Amino acid sequence: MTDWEGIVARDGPAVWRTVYRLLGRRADAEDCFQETFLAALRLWARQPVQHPRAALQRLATARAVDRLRRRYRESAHAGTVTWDALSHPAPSPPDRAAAAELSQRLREALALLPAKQADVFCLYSLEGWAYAEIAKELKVSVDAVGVLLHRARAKLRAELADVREEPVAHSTRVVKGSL
Amino acid sequence: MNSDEQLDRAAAALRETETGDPPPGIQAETLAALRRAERRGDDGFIGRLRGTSVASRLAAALLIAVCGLAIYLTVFSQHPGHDPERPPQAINPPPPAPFVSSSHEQTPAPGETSEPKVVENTTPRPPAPPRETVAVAPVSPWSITGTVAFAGEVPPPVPIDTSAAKECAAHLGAAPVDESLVVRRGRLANVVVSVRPVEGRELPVSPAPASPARLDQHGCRYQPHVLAMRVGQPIVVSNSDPLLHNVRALTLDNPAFNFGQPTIDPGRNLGPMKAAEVFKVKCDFHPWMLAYVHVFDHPYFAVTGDDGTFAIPAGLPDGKYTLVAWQEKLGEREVAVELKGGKAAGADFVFKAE
Repeated sequence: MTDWEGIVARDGPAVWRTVYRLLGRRADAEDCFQETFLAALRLWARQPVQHPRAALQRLATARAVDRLRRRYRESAHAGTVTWDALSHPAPSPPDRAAAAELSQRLREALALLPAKQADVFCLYSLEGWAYAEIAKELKVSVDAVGVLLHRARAKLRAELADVREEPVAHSTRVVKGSL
Repeated sequence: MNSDEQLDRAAAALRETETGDPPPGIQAETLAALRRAERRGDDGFIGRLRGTSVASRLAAALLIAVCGLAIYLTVFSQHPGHDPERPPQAINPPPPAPFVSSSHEQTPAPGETSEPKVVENTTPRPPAPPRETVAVAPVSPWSITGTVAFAGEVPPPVPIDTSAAKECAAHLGAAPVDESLVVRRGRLANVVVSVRPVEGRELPVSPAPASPARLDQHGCRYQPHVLAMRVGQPIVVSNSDPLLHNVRALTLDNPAFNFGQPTIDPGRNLGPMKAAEVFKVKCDFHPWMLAYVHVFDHPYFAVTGDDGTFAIPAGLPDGKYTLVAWQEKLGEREVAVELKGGKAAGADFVFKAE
């Protein structure tokens, strides 16, 4: 019997950081947090897991990226509003606003990438994994990781090309397709 | 700044996002979900097969086929008069399912004492014609009844922040509060109570009701806040508000649904649920809107009403059972019950303040 209590207590904060950072919304992050552990339960049942935290972070990243893709594809069609963005109307300091703007743009851009490219980019650039670690977890070669990362960066660069360089002060940005 | 630096800056901004610790409750909720999933064996037979070699799978398939053939030959060799062209005759037609009333369609009149609520949507059936019976295990004519109490100081109601959605202000009333813990006179509402079979026994199952379980969006809330239904029973989601809601079900084992209802809608039938699980339903426009849907693969469950009482439908043979009560914030509690003469009253739960 797997010691889920121990695993959730020990690795829960790392999983939370991964999903919250990528999703930027608490409600989504809570759902994704739970989904990650349920996916881990299925994974554990199929095969032995040597590095639980690495497996959990990989699962968390994949699920968070899936959610980002659904979120931005749906909002682009339905014209929805990102309530999180609107629910904090107080002006932020300029640098924080700029960082929030950049983070938001990167989330949107990640949603446009093929899933594997997005996973590799997140594990490398956000989680700080080495090529070899990513290759092992995703069951691809180290060379393939390099190629996926190169392609991901090229697409993300193109997506972020129109971001203004000066900080965006005193504004909350509404994402593409919003009302 | 070149585009590579721009991307690195964006990655750094995302990496340094302030996340804090997991919110209180989510870890406990996740643990409870893991335990439920473990109990019902989420990995399943197919999941376990994935870890085996192809040769093992082929051997297992061959063994199953041989066993099936042996059973077939054994059965039909004992019935020399068997005519394959002749339609089979029912040897022992299944008994009619017990009639149970629907909690979702019952609304006690003001001032009327609420009867224990039974969550089942079935239509009344005509009395079955008399037929010859053989000795069968005693079947409970009634059900398990009890209450769910809350011990300790009742936390004050938490107001809902609706500032992000002004259009709901007119529908929500003066001071909308969070529905995750509803205590009235020391009793807990919205608790799902269900029977869990003891190991090695299965619960007798009647066909799933054809009438749908209903979830309504009314006053910028889901009604009911906690819905319990059967596998195979359809679910209908309606919108009683003249404004846009979005219905997003966070299912794992059942068909996912996510759609908008821009104005009043008498109901959208989403078809039958396929598997037993608990899932949330949310509205992306109104973050406080949340419902829990419990899907059971048997009929022995109920949701407590405002008076904290419940009644499990009839149909269980006498014996020992475990009764499980689930509350969204407080988790699960279990009590052991024994059905004697078809009754087990006083199956009471107490949830203590965290």
